[in-house]
Amino acid sequence: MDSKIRLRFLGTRSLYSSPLNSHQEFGGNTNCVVLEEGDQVFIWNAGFGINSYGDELIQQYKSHKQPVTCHLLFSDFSWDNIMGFPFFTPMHFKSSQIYLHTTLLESESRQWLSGVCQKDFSPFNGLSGFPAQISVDSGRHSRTLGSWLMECLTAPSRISPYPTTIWVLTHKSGFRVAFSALGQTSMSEYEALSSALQGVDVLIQSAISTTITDHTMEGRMTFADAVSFAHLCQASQLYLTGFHPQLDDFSLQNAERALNQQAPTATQSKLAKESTIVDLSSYIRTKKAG
Amino acid sequence: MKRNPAPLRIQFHGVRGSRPTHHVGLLQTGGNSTCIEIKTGFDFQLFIDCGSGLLHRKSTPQTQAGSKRYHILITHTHWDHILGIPFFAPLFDPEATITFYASNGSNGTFPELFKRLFTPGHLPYPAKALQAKIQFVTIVPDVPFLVDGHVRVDSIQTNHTAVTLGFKITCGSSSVAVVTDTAPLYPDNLLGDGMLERAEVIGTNAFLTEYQNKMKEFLSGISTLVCDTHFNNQNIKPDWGHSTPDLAIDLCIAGGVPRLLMFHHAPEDLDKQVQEKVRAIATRASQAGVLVDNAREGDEWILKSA
Repeated sequence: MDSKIRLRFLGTRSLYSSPLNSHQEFGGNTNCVVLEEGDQVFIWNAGFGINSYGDELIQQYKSHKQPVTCHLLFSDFSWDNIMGFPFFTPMHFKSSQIYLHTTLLESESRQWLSGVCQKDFSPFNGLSGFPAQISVDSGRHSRTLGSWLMECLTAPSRISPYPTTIWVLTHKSGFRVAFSALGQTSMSEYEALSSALQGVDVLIQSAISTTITDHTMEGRMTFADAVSFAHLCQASQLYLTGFHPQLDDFSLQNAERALNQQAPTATQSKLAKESTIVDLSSYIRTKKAG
Repeated sequence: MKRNPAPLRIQFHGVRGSRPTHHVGLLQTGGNSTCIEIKTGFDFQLFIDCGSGLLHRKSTPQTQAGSKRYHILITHTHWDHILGIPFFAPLFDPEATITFYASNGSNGTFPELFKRLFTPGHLPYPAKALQAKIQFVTIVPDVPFLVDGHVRVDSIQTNHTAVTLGFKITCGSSSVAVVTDTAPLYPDNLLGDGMLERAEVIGTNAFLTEYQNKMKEFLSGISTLVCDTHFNNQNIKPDWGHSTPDLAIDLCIAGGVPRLLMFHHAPEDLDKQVQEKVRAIATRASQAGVLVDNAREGDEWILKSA
């Protein structure tokens, strides 16, 4: 398998899917971002973006005569982060080994994820009804997974009674990537978190829109909030994702243009586009050389 | 009360089964999950199912856009049919009245399942944000009822998990049936709640005959059948609870239905595969005298009398 380190944006929408003609450039599936390095696969959230990727994984691993092994990292259990989960094709193969990572207790995590697969809402029968080997890795300890060290930070959420989890993956080369669905919080919280994320190479941050206009958006970061947070973290690259489903390509193009016209910072900011594959190898090589 | 002068119209807001899906190769057909609007000419909006299509509706001159009365028939509570509910804007409007009509699920009543959608932690807003007047009506399969005193709804349990309903909507002289989701019915494939038990009581063959007769009666007199054609003859998985174009034609022949609109397209099927379904069934449909087309997102059909 290809050993390049790659980021793939498979679902860029928060709240609900928006499969529309007007959303072709930035995408319409709900939240899912993947970090790949060879056969190491980390999937951040399981919105409907995960489904086409599941089919692809099955094909890819079949051609290498290996069972699928992957890690799913959940920021929280909002519907837009978990609704693709029951339809993730590797869940339906006995040979698949799927690790679910959350910071809640294992029993709580199983309960939340069983909820989305329960018989009334799906053709399945809870988490234990899938043929795949599913392990739930709960808690806030760091662990080494292949060539990556996985750590997590938690922060209170304004939109959920449960904290949101920020996942940080550090490659043995020193390259660091963080996945964050952090919402609006106090300045002291921002400062504490940004201190822990200081100098992160790539920050992937959920940001709903340019402004908060209704109650479904409350508590989320705006694009400007995300840029400020990335600046505090001194992140080299920022990818915004988790856009409001009603924002069409035209609105997002304008938002991206506005971001680029702001005063330059050390952080390169981009809006994620669905189906985009970002090859990070050259960045890592340059960083090593520099 | 305003009379309904025009034939029924049916508009598709979401035509996909299983889940909504976004891909540039399927936008002609549409990627939203199931939602159908039935336009009666009366001062309310009537929908069948609340998939993501409910959230991306395209208005036409016949849309009762000013009305704040909504009637929503739920075939069953699988995600693809209900995931639009939590973001349906009228829920937050204190002047709106929304009536849900549904059967009870395997593990709870529809109001209980509805409440579970709004469990704190799953949604970005508290349940108190729901300001509309929300009402629930429990459907008992085979027992007809009126929506708003004008529109007759007949229901039938389909061959799918739990209690999944097919609906026949009749208003004035026009009538349409929506049968989604349903699988081929044979002795080893009785999927709905209570079906196996009924077959055990009266005998499997007697049950199959009873069901086929009931379905034939249900479909009689309609001008259009909107039917699940998720699979084709090559990829069908009968225990998944879905149908094929051939099985849909069988239903049309049994009920004497002159038009079939194929619906609940598989999320993997790109436009060309969906179009292929019409081509694959064309000869058989023509021989049976059934006009066949695909349901596509945004399309509105006028339902003439049968």
